Amino acid sequence: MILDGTEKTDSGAEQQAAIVAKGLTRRFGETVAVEELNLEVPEGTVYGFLGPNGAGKTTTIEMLTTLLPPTSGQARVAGVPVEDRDKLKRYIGYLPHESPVYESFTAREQLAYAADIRNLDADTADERIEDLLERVGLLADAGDRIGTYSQGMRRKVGLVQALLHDPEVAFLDEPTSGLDPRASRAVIDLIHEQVRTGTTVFLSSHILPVVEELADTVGVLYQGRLVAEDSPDRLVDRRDDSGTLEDVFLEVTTDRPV
Amino acid sequence: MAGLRTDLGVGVAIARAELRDLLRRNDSRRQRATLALLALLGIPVWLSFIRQGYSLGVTTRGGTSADVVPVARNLLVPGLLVVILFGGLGAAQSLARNAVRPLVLTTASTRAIVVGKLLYILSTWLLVLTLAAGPALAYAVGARAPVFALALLAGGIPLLLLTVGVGLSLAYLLWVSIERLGLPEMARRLVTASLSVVAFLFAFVLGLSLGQTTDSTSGLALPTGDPVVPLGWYADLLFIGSPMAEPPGPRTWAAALAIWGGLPLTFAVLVRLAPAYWYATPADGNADRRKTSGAVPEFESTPSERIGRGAGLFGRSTTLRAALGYARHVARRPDQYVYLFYYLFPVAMVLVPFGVSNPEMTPAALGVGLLLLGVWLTGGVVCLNPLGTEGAMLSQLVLAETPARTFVHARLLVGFAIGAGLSLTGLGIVVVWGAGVPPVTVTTVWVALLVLGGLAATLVVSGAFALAIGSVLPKFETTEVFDSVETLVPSVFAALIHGVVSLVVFSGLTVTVLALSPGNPFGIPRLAALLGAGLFVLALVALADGSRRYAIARLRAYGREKLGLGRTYAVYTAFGLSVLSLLLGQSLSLAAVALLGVEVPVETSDLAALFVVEYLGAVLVGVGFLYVSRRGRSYLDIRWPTPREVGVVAVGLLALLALQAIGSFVIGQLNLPAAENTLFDLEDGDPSLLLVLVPLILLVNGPVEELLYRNVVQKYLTEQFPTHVAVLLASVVFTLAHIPAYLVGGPSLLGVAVTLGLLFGLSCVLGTLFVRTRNLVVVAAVHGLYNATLLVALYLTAA
Repeated sequence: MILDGTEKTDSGAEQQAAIVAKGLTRRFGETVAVEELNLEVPEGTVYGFLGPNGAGKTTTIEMLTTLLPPTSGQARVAGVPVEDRDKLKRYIGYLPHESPVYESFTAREQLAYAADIRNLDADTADERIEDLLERVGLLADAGDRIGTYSQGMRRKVGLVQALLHDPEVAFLDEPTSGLDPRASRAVIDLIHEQVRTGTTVFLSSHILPVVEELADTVGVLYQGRLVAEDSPDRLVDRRDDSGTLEDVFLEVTTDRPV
Repeated sequence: MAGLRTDLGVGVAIARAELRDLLRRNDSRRQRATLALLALLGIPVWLSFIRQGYSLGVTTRGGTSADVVPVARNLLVPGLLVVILFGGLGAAQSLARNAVRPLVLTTASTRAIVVGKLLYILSTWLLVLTLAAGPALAYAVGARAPVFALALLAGGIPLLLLTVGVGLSLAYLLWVSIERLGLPEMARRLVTASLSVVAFLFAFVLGLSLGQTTDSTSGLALPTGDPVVPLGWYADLLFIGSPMAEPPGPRTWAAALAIWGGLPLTFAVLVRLAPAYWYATPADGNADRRKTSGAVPEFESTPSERIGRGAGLFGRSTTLRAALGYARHVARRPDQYVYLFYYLFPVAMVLVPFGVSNPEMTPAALGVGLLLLGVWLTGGVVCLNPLGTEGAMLSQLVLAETPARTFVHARLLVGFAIGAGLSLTGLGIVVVWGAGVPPVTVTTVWVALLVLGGLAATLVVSGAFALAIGSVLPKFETTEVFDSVETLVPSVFAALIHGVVSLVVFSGLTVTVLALSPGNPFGIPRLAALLGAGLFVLALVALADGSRRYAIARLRAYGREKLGLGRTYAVYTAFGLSVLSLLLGQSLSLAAVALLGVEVPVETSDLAALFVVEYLGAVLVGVGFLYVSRRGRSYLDIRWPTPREVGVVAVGLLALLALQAIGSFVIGQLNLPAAENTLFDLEDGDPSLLLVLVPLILLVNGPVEELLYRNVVQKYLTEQFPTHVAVLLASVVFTLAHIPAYLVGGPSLLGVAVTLGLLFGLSCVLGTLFVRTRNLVVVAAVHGLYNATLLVALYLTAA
């Protein structure tokens, strides 16, 4: 279904939606970064946010994770309004564009610290850390300082950190950026695993194959507006000549009317 | 030639872009307000220099017997060395590999990049030059020697260019050699980040030599002979056209040739050296050890860093664990903190010459140095940039369960530990050298408690204030100073402000401790000393606690709109605004005195000017607060009074006068002493002076005080407190702010207390009036008319 401002006919019960946004808008002075965004992401699904640079993806994620106040509109994550950070924060995990790590810590120290400030039980957290480190292939290097890591390795640490406390909703801003195909595979598998345990994942990415594989629903953001939203297959089917998601992406993110 | 022109054009474009970036990056309401405040507080000093320059010019107009030029010749080269150190080496960071990386990959030639960066560095020096130019120009005006001003400019700029160029070249030589040495990673980092260490060593050596040329009895002996380095003869050119000038001889022209000729030479060297560094690959010892992931572990790795909180203190306290984390940062990346050597510079410059010229006092000097360093580093190490050093982790911290205050307290704890270690060592050295270990008696225990308590208080204030100022003026960007060294240097202003304030607090507490210890050297009566100490400590508590709360609020509010500072902070702010307005008023008065050349006894015209200027401080603080806190102009309740409100003015005036009359009656009946406002003392035998004050009181005193204490302070307090509490609190602030006005002349404490009590009552009436009418004009009128009435009454009784 390609949105052009008409209302959605099928709205699920709000209680079940992990993420709900109504008319979410963010202005920076004269510029409108995100305009009248309406979203509904059911629990336990993966929502893939696509869009060119500057479309407003990071801004949206920041609004949904309470790190940026919306100019107007409302949003609820796990049933809690985004204005209420103190109540909402325990339900979410966040991986920003820049990996939130300390260069002078080792990966283990970083994750131990993250578990500590999230008040996780020490032993359970230890096990989980080791388990996740192994899944992403960082076990051998876990005792080395993050300052010596490559870009991709840092990303992995950030991802593990975001999922460590088994959040209800995980917001991942470009989780596979800087990763080679093998590492990407490990990350994708980890995300799949996490979704299986019931986490809702909201991820933004440029890498279309990744989004195609992971997402149940894809939303395309262009110049602050949601211009297309559907499952990957159906989006591609809309085009007459059998194209790819990339073709759909390129088509909806131009200035020509659809 | 076309190549040179293109390069020049590209260079100018680079310089312009970098300047724009610098100015925009550092532009925010808070930064602007802080800089404006600093400027206004510092203006009297600058103006007095200008005035001195002018009078010096006038007195030397006819010629001078001073050996200014020979001294300048001798000091020129050492002065240049200092500039090379700070201007050149310090600015070298902007020509480091990563700072030019984006430019290096364009078609801009090396020459263009170097030109651009040089122009940028010179422009940033412009402000410093302007400050120095003021007094110099004043001198030129006073001495009626315009040529001198031109000569200074024409002669000075090549010098500046040369020193920056030489400094940059030295930096490049240093870096390239270090890379070729192939040192292990940590050593390389420490050495390349060590410019500040070099600066400190230089200061140390300079201090040594200064100490050796100083005779402790005869003071500084300035060299007036021929300069050791012939380049010093260049100084003659700087004085051309001034009354002190000597006609430039052949040696002067030779020096000039060397310096002017050195310019293109230095430039060529720089252009030659720079690419050697930019494009060089580090030698093997520094090989980039970037890993790739996915390696298969060879053995069962046992996690060595379990969360393992376990039992014990660390197990129970998140604060301690977080503090450990911060301590870990410091221990593992010491190169990040090498810039702290700059704190040593003033210590070295003062204490080293002192220690050298008085060798028997060297241990004491060392001890005091360590003491001071401890005070500064408490704030300087982990507290000065609490938000910036977190980087991307900030988002994770605010989304964690651990409250923001834990992280702030953890930083304070680490800072305190570091500072206490240094300071106690220094203190120990001073004590042991001074008197040996003292015997344990009641007196010594009391003194020891005082001293330790004072030290602890200083450290806490230093750390807390650093947290606050660092949260106000953070520097968020990661700067890669040298390859793979990342430092998050706090704003220079934050470090400067912190340094000055900690020093003031340290001095104040030293004085307090001395005044309270037995055999106090100031001869202050016990009660007054206790009272003064009490007030001072109270102010420090407010400063430290307010700073702490602010830092916590800034961390918590990351990504939110409202800071959410509580009631306690509101009270601190109310008092803080009052203190600030007093300080600013004094500073501006001093500036006016410097500018107008006011003498005692004060002439009427000058009096009016001083009066207005002093109140200007309060206006600026009030308005400035509204600007920074985004409450805006609409916060001011200024309306033309309605007829009803005019009636209210009359009623209010009568109420105040009645209250005053009753109060005076009661005071008289009870035979209590009363203090007089110093304003009313100014008659000095000429009662008509009082009449001059009347319009000032009506138009300045009344409106300004009501603006600050009612429209700003009281209204701000009503946001946090119930109205009547806000009125009372604002009145307390108002009353306390008037203490200085009643203290001059040495009245009895009881007298002051009584008068202030009456003042409090009057203030509450005004406060209530403001709440009811919500019109500043009304209360301003009442206040002004009341004071004016008292003045007129005084005039009538005196005449």
